[in-house]
Amino acid sequence: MSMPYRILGYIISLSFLCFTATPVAAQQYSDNRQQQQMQGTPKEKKPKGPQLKAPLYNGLYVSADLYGLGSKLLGSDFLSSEVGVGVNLKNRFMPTVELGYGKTNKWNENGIHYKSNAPYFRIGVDYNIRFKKLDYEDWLYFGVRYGYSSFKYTIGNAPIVDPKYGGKIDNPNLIDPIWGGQSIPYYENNINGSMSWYELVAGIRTKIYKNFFMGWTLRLRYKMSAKEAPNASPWYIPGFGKYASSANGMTYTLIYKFSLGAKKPTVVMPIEKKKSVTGKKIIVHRGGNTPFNSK
Amino acid sequence: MKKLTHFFIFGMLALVIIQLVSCAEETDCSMTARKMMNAGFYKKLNMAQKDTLDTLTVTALGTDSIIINKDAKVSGESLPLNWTADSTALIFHYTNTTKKDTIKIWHTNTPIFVSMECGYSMTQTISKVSYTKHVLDSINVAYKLANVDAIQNIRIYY
Repeated sequence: MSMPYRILGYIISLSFLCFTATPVAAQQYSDNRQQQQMQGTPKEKKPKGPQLKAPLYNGLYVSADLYGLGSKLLGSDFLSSEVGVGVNLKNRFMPTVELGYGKTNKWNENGIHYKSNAPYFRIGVDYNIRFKKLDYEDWLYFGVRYGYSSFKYTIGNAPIVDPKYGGKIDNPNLIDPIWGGQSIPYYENNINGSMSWYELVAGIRTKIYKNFFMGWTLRLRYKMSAKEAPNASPWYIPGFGKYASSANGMTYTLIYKFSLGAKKPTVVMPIEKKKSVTGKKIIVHRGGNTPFNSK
Repeated sequence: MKKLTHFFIFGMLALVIIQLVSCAEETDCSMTARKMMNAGFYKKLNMAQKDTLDTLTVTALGTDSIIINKDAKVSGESLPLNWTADSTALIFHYTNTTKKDTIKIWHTNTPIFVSMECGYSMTQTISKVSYTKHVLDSINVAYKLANVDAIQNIRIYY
């Protein structure tokens, strides 16, 4: 069995396990709770562990995407490269700007030639769901982006040339299959187009060495508006992918963190409020603020 | 090391998801389906009432191509217009008479690029119609754009 099918098999097995195990676990949990209530034993709360308290500003992150370059090397029709800049706020939010450049120059097997290259930008914010964790520089996050690209594209319809005997035949794309006749010429040069879209982002980021990080993101892109010529839809949108109402994408980024005066976060021992037997509130200090030593 | 392992597992899973989603997306080339001129047959005395022709054969003028071959009990036909010329001439052959009518449709052709996978689609707009009156009475252009939605383009009255 090939590797992708094996991985797919694992995913299906895990999904099946999750679906079948969850009701059983829920039933057991429910039984335990009922038993506890019948016996009158109080529900014990799990004590909270130390948590992170981050200052507002935690550094500036500059990233470069390698996935766009890598996928082109592996045979993709599109080449894109981008850099991003993000500011870490409270170790929870990361307002981000991404600037990139996308390019395609593709011939299909029927002699249609499509060419386009243009810059694009995205702006948005990420939310780190691990913001309280002590390994605070590893992020698991979700985010949104607004993206825009203004571009020009050229579409040509070339005849097919016989490489051995010479001569050429009309492009088969525009030969009338009922009436026959010669192929219709089609050439549209430098058509103006633009598109805006939004993206839903899920990603992780981990520290690899000192201020160096790397990260993956998975992106679902949805078209908001587009400007196109009446007789030629764009095929490729820089920063978005193939022209459609939605597209998906990925990034693999190498990131450098510029601390630039950022303070280190502190570890906070949580305060618990309990009620005494007489009903008075008692505050139990499980610890105080302690300086956090970064790994 | 553990977190790096998690990192690469996440990456692999993301790649698998992307690949699966990409494979599941089939290219929809329905936009490139050939658009036809839809003709409806009506009675000249009662213009709202549809007429039914016993048998109809439609050929292309100047060629031996048969577009419609002996269609029986027809009250309308979908007819292709020529992509490479600005007019299409069709000959209507009726069974109950040796007479026939020639209908010439003038149209503009605009190729539209759809995508690299699907190629082009042709938009054809009818500008005028000329015809003989051996059997038919008159023709009215109801909708100019050839289409795949069976919207009637011309109404032919007998």
